[in-house]
Amino acid sequence: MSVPGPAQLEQILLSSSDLSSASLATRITVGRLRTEVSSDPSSLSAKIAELSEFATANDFAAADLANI
Amino acid sequence: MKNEFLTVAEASARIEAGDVMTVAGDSALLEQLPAGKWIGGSSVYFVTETGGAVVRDKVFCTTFEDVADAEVRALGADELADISKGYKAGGFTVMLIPAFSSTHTTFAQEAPNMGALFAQPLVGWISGVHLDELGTAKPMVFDGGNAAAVEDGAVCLHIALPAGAKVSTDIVNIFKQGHDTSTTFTFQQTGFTVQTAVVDGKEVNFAQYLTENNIDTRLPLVANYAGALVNVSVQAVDTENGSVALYAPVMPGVEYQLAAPLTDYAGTFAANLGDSGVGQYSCNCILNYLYGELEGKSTGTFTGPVTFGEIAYILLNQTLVKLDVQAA
Repeated sequence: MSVPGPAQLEQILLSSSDLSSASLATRITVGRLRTEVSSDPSSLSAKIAELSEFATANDFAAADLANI
Repeated sequence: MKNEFLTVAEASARIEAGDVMTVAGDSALLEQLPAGKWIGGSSVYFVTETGGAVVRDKVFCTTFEDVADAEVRALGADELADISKGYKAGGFTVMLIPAFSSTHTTFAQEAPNMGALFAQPLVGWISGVHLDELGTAKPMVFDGGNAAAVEDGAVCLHIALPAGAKVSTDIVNIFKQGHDTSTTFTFQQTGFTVQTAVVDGKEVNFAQYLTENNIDTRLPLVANYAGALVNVSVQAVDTENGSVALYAPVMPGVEYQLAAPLTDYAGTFAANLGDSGVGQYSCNCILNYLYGELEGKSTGTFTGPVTFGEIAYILLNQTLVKLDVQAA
């Protein structure tokens, strides 16, 4: 499963949409990263990298994010 | 997966035969079980097929059948970052932690940032005691590998599934944000006890705010994690000292709303759960049991322990956690 690129991950982190079809693990992880970006916008690049790393390590997360 | 109440003798025979189990029950019963592939936690409240009940003469056993491998591990509060090191490929982990222990606090505050925890389903619960025995009895968990009680630590049952089997976990939260959608709460520090909150951008004493606004503290604060609604429940409001004790820590930067009130607690649960509970692992919160007056009321087909906190990757409140395994 290929991991979405940085632009798509950025969109996911800057959005407030519900990822209702995603796994619980992905929802909680994205929710936490969104909060961190909201609290510190300068952390966006680091959080995109963290989300990419999470999706690279976990096929289910890559699938979740690709299907958003 | 099989859920059932067993006597100590019946459960002991299953353990000695090699069954892989999680066991919930009165500590006095769990102490009698032999070593084997099981973990246990103290709880005397249960959701049964016929409704909520206090059960002190039997233990509630979930037997994981047709597993490829299982390992029991006990971890200290300072070893929680290593939980995922026990994960077995394609499997899942059940974890139990005693209420009010330092491990409970550490897990609650640190789990959201433990990225590796999220690699596969991690479910479980916080053990408790009968509410009449708060302060006199200690919540315990049991490391079945050594048949040993643990007052402060986490016990994990790491399970590997046969090739082709699938496992999934989710939560059922009957609460929604929206008591007053225009009012948001944020907190500047994490913790089980808070003094101040930022309400609609203005810092207030949280105890004073809850009191002056006649907030029904049976309603949790609800955060929306990208569609996963995560509750933080209020334990006590101390207006004299200006502090509010919580059953889970609030997280800095997370925006909370007060939950919308429910008119039919048990009915809402039953409607949200459906009929899919047979053969699934589940646990439900003691606050749902109390506030929903669930004793004797059926909430559907999910059965399991009633707990002092639920675990689905992170610590949850007023939530039902479920885990389903589909055979290959």
